[in-house]
This record gives sequence, structure tokens and C-alpha cells, in this order.
Amino acid sequence: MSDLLCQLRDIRKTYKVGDIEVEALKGVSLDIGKGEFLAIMGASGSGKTTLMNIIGLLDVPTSGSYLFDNRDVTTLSDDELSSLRNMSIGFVFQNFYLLPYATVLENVLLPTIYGEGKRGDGKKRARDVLRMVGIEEQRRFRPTQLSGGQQQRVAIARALINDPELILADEPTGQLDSKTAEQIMNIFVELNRSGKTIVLITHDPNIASYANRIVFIKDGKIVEE
Amino acid sequence: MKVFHLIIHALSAILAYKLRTLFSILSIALGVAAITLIVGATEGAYKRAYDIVDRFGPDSALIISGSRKQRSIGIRKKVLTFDDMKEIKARFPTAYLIVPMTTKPDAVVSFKGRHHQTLVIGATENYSKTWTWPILIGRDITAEEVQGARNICLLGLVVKERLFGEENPIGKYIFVDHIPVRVIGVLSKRGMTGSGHNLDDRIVMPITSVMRKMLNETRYIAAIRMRFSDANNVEKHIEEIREILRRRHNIREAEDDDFFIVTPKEIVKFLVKLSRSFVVFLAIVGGTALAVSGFVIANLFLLSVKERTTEIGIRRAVGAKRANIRFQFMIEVFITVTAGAILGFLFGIGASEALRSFAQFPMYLSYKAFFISVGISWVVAALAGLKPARAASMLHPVEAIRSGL
Repeated sequence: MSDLLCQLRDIRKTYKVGDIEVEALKGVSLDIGKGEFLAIMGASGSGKTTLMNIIGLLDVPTSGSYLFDNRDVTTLSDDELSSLRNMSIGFVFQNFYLLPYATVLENVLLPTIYGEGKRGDGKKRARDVLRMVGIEEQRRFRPTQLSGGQQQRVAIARALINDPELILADEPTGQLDSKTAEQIMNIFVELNRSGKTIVLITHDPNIASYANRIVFIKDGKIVEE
Repeated sequence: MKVFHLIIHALSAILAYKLRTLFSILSIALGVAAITLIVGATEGAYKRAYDIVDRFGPDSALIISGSRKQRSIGIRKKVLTFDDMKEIKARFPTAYLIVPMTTKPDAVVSFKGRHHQTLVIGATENYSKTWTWPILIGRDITAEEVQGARNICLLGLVVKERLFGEENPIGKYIFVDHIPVRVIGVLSKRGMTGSGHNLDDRIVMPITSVMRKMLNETRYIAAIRMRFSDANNVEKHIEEIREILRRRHNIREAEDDDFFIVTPKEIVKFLVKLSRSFVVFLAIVGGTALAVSGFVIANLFLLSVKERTTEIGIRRAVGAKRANIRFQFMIEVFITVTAGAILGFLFGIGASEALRSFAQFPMYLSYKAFFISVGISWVVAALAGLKPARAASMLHPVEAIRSGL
């Protein structure tokens, strides 16, 4: 058993666009330790989103091996991957991706609907995580009534509700002004201090600087650490 | 998976996508309204049929002169005789009531300058009893009055009202085709037949009087009404009576009967046939409407899946399994369709009421109509929801999420 949360070995991912095969990842090997705060940097088209999808178990590699928490995840079924995402990974997206017709509280509770239901009182936990990101007061609001920064706080609360090992954030500040971006990044720093493993995908060096470790990806390969 | 929460989410989505919901509900409501009418009409027809059979008497039979092809009772050729009746009476000891009847259509009845054209029925003292048709006021015809061919009559309620209004007709003389006839009683209300004929528009006189004084007839009568004490054997007795009458009337093998026997079974058959054309029409309309609404719903939801790709992506990302997504869309379809079915059933009740009061069509709605409507709409929901739910569940989470960018 190792202390590594993610062990990726020679990961390749090929997409078919019409008759042409596009290789988005050309043999990526990467270890992410438990409690790490890692930033993956790269320009658009570099393959960083594909890498994030594979790390986040949203997609499976064409070849290569991936151990998540010492478990080979390349052979898991769609249902098993869904369960693992539900329990172990929290996503934060650039566009927040909240359900427009649900309240803040309902949005935060969304992952608990698909869980095994052994995590105690979801509502209490939801209020705890909302308090943690500083948005408990607005729990009955709809996403459209909130500012971008507030929406991203809700999204972070949603990512935390099932207490996952890994938080995956894809350009979490891409839609925010620099002051709000700083506040959001400070939340990630706090979360990392409390022990969460955080993987940040960004093209912005200022944002990446919050991380403890930065890897660069270019043309489907990790080029620099 | 927490089913209750998924249902709450489905409800929120239904309320959020108002236009989709509205069109889905309306399209299914139209189909269900038609189905409700079909069930109501079918049940109504059967109920009416059994009401009429009940009134006709489940232990009864009516032998009518003239073949099945001749239409109205009034213009049928009279071929039955008293001798026919006597033989039947001798052969069937369980026939506890046998009443010969004759008819004189379009007789003019008048009282104090008021005239009315009506049907005269000639019968015996047991007319009221054999038809279970109580006397409202006055008294019944007696055997002596029949034997003596007396000029007395019972009035149907319509005739009573036309000639007498509120006045008491008992003991008064009316003219029936210029013959003075004394009113001894009034028959209670009987109402309309299935074909819209008013049974209360008639008078009843001793058959002897009608035959001798109005028809100048000594031999032939129009009909024989019978009741049997063994109701279960009516159909069997009818067959035997048919044989007897064919023999007595010298009808050869290949020839049709020159009489026609009405039994409770015959009445049911006739009434059901009458309403069947309407039911077939509605079944086509309802089936088409439901098929169309199925397609409408399937396509609206398919569109909705496209519109909600990102939502599906989010749900998949946070751990929803394919089955969870499928379930959510199916629930949305089922809730929408059920709401449409309930609305459609209410439309159906309204339309039934309209049909009943304006077109006199027998409509009868019960809980059965409701369950059939909802049941059929659920079949539509299951079929219509299949494709959108599958399409939603088969979306790849990565593509679903990326579509929002």
C-alpha cells in the first residue's frame, strides 16, 4: 500500500473524429500523493481536460494503467465508476454547473441522492459544508439569485458533501474577477490544509501558484514539473 | 439511490420546464378524454341495455307478428292468432302470464276539442301486470270488460297530459277514432325507448273492443306477451315456441319466420349493436389521439434531454448511474402523463355530461373508467418515455459536461 492517491502509468487516450484518430494523451505518467495540492497547467488543446476527465473517472484511458487509492480503475464498470465518483471525488467546474431549478441546499445535497445513504444526516452535513464555504445564509436561494463567486462556493460545498478524498477543480476561477478568484482559491488552500487532496486544472499561472506542485502538459505529454 | 429525492427532483424539473409540461399534459389529456368517453359510452350502453331488459322482464318474451325485417310494430302484418296462443298456453305450464296484444297506430283521440294522434294497444286484463307497468290513478281493466268488449281505456301519461292537462280524467269520455271510450285509469311514467320512442304516448283498451270496433278483425293479433315462472329456461322455451309457430303457420324449411320473438338476450344484442358504431368511432379517435400524444411526449422529452445535457452531465459527475438518469426521466414522464390523464378524465366527465344532457346518449362513468384511462395512459407513458430516458442515460458524462461550455 502506498500513500499515493492516484498512480497513472503511460496513459494514452485516443478519440475518433470522423475517420481521423486524435491522440489527446500520448503516454502520461503521474503520481498524486494523498494530501497534495497539485496544479496541472497547459494551454487549451494540450490535453489537460482529457487528463482531468481520466483522473476524475469520468472517462477511461485507451491504454495505460490507473490505480486510484490502490485500486485498478481501468477495469471497472460504468456503475462502479459512478459509485466511486460519488464517494471519492468532488468536482468543481468553471461554469459552476448548478441545477437552475433547485435551491442552494438541494444542489449541495445532489450527490447524496446517488450515494449509499450511510453518511448520516445529509441536511446537517450540507449546512456544515455551506457554513464552511461561507454561504449558509443563502441556502434557500436559487442559483440565479447568486453572484458568480457565491455560485462557485455552492459548487465547492456540493463537491465536499460526501467527504471525498479528491477535489478536482477545472478552471474554478475562470468566470470570476480577480478578487473573488482569490477568495475561492483561499477556500481550496484551507481545504488542502485540512487534509484534502486537490487537483487544479488551469492555464493561469497566478491561480496555479496557490498549489504546492505544478505539472505542465503540452501536446498530450507532461513536459515539466 | 434515494427514490423519494429523485421524485422531488423530477417534480422540480416538471415545474421548471413549463411549456414542455403544458403540451405534454394537454396532448395526453385529449387522448384520455376520448378514452373516458369510450368507457363511459360502453358502460352506459350496457347499463341502459340491462335497465331495459329489467323493465322488459328477464323472465319475459314477446312474440311479434311479422318477420324481423319489417320495421315498426304498427305496419307489421298481423299473422298470430288466438289459436296460436292457446296452443302455446297449453304447452307451457310455466307461462304464468300470457297476454294477447293488438295495435291500431295513428288513432285520433279527442276530448273537449283537444286532439292527439296516438297508438292504441288492445290487450287483456293482465297488460299492466305482464309489463310490470303500474296504474298511476284509477283502476286496471277487468276480465269482464275484455269479455264484454267494453269501451274503456287506460291512458298513457303523454295522452293524459295532452287531453286533460291537470284535470282528473277518470270517468270522462274521450273519442277514439270517433268511438266514445270511458277513461278508467292512467298508466305511470315509462319513458323513452332506446330508439327515442316515447312509451307513454299510447292508450290501452280491451283487445276485443279494438279488434271488433276499430280494426274490424276477428282472427289475427299483433303480439303475444308472456312471462315464465322458470326464467332460466326462457331461451329454451323460445326455441320450442318458434318450432310450434313455424308448424302452425306452415313455414317451409328455407323460409324465414313470419314472426319475431323478442327476448331479453335479443334486446341486449340490439342495444349493444346500436352503441357499437359510436364506440368504434371513439375508439379510433381515442387510439389515434393517444398514439399522437405518445409521439408528442416522446419528442418533447427527447428535446428536453438535449436541452438538459449539462444537467445530466452534472448528475453523472456527482455519481448518478445510468439507471438513475433513466429512472428520473421515466418518473418525469409518468408524473406528467398522470397529471394529463387526470385532466383528461375531468374533460371526459364534462363531455359525458354534455352528451347525456344534449344528445340523450346513455353515459355512465365509474371508477372503472378512471382506472382504465390512467392505465392506458401509463402504457403510453412507458412507451413514450423509453427512448428519451434511454437517450439521457446513454449520454457520456464527459460529452454531457462539455456541452455546457
